Amino acid sequence: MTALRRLTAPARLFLAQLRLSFASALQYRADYVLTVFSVAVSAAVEIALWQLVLKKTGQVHGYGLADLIAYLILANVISMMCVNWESVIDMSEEVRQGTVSRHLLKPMSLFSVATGDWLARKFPVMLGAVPVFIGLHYWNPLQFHPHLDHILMFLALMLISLWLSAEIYFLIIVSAFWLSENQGVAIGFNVLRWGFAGTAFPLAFYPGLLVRFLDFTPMPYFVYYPTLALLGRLPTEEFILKFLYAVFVGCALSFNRWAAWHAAERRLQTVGG
Amino acid sequence: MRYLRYLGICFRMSVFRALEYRAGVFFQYMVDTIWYLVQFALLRTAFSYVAEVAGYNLAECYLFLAFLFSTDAISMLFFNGGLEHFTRAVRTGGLDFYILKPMPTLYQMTVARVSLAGVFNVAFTLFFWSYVLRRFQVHYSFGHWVWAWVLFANGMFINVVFRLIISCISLWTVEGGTLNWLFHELMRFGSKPEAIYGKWARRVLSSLMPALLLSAWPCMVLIRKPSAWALALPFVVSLVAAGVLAGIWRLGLRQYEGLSFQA
Amino acid sequence: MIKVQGLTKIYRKYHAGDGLVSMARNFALRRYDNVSAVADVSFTIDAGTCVGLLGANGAGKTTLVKMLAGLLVPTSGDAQVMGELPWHRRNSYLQRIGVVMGQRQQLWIDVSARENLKLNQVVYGISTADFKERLKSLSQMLEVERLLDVQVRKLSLGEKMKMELCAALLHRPSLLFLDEPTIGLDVVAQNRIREFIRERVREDGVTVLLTSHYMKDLEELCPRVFLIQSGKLLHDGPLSALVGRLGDVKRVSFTVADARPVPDSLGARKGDDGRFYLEVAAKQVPAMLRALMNEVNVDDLSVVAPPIEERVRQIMLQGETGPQGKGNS
Repeated sequence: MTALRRLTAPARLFLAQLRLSFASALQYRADYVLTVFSVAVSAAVEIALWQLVLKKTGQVHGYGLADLIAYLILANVISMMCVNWESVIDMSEEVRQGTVSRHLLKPMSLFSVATGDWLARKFPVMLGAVPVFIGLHYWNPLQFHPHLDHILMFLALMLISLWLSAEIYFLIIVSAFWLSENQGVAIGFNVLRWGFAGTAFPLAFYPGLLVRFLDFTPMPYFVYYPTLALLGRLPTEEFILKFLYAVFVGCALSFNRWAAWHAAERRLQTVGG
Repeated sequence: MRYLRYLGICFRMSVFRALEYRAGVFFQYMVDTIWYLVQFALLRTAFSYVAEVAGYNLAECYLFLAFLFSTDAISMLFFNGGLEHFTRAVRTGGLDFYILKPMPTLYQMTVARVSLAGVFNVAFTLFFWSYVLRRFQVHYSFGHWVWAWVLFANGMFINVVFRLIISCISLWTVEGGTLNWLFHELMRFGSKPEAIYGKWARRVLSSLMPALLLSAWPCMVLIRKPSAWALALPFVVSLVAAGVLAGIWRLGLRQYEGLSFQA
Repeated sequence: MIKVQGLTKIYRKYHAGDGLVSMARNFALRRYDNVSAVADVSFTIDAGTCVGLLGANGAGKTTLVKMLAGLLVPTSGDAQVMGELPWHRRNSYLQRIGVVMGQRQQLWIDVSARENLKLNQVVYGISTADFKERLKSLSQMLEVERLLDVQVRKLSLGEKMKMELCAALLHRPSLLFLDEPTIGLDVVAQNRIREFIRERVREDGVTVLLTSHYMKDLEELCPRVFLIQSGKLLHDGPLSALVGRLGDVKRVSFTVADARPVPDSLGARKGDDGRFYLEVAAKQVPAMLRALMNEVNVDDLSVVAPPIEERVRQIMLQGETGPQGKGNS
């Protein structure tokens, strides 16, 4: 029993952190109203533009208007589920001000603290996404009827999306040990995500060369591929290849994160921790 | 004069601060450049499938982007830092010091964080303007240009006032990051030409949520023959917004508790 | 200078609840409580005096100061400060007050103090010649001349506080609000700041409203002290009068030379340092000493007045004392 407790200790600590952050996140109700608003605005602006394009062309890369509306709503919800604004900026500020020490004194890695905090803030968004997905399913003109295999592929790619996001956001937090103001890095990354992760429109709309280049980066794995999987636009063979490549990228990022953190730890005293 | 001197001192302090945090300035500039790049990519991609969208051809689309980048660059240079700081000042109690000074608090807050990185944005925007004007050989009458820039200046005013109105909500809610987010989300409607929206959306976005009055309206006035109402509307919105801001600020200060009221 | 009548401030406070379920419930439906931070406070303060505000955390001191400074609008009551209603925040009023908050700073940390002060010069419309002269004199008095061009973030806590005082006094205010100006500072810095404040009151005739948790600040600077508890003014008068409420008490402490137990009848308690302590009314000290000498083989003995902090804490804990003192009008 003791051995079991010891083995599960990190998970229990992580859950405790998750609970605390979730309770804290619940204080800010307006955030969730705004999340919905944000998804609506983002999708509405692009739909307004692309419906005019589609009126002339009929379809673009296999997307008609209904397909595109379904894509944009899903992509924006998925993006909202894994994007990180407040948590990464707050944690970076803690590094800058030296108050990050309060986390380092606990028997828990800073990566777990940061990821727990971020996921806890995202948890209500994830819960809120479920009725949106169900609602889209019953909105007949969109013809959004995912099969079980689509849902499973989506869940697998969503986990990948969260994993890659967690690694990259933690690398951004760690960069605060070197950069006195790294908010720009976080904001820059999120703006890039918005443009090139498939939130604004399907990446296939971009010129072929750009799409091939983006395929080598983690970008499409944040939003584009999970959305394609849920829409049933990702063939199983392609899913397997993408999944394996994403795991490889994830492992590389994990190693980088580990190395960066070890280097950062040595700089802790210089930022006043 | 005192207000201009205040702006000057703020800019000087920002320069000193920027010299201290060179990397910060660099990354700020990078963020803005990425934003420009993304805006460009999103709109340009649509034009790769059709020659014209909602009556805008490629040249006019570039012209719109030039106005959009100008709005952003000037906002980043003068106002954005201070306005972002506003809600944080409410949360941390730093607003107290601004309130207790014999200069309008909203003015102090608005220009309190002039940004050096914004200078580079302005330079980039000027470069983009020169590229657009030379590549597309656009010719509009002097009167059109005057109207466009007057409306642009008015749009900047609306931008600041509207942002302040939203920021003032933090006097009630205390949590402010969300409000900055709300503002940016609303302004996202303004990142595309006004003609892509339906009639009712356009009405709302040029009055209640005046995102279109910032960049899209000056561009529209330049390339179309606007009605008298279209020319007058931005000024009406300015006046109303200023009145709303005055009211909400006065009410908000009655509500304001500052930091740690229990201390 | 300051005339306050029935000032009251009630806050609406979100009742967060306890536990995750309660918090989740509050996510949908919020409950609010009314909290009375300042309750029906009245007093007057003459120009050129230093008045201390004393009270436990959450007593309402800062709320009172914020209302008088003009930051907060009271729920009810009236206050006239230098002939003006503070919360109207007219420039003519703001031009005549200075504020220092020990736990927060108005200076930008990334630039030098001099640059910060130049900003204040513009805000308060101080002429360049006057600014130079004033800055020189203030920085000399506070011994920070050589630090004026150092980035604020690189200054020590005490140095930062001195710069904050410079910023607050640059425009020669008639009324200075000092909210814990010596908090966290070492003894030397505390003394220098106290001395500086005392000089400003004496030489410039500045009226000071000071809140502090350090009794020494109040003891040395404030001939008049307000004790505030749960928003109510419990005492208005000298600190000595406040302390005197508990009666003239002396603390007798002693060590014993042998292992014989100290009789319970003496009522002495043994401290962690091995000494025995007992507190008796001043008049009873001789009798107590005689009894002590008879019953115990005393090795070392001292008779002192208990530290003022302890006595004030005792009064705060009691919290039952009714409004007394000269003012409270």
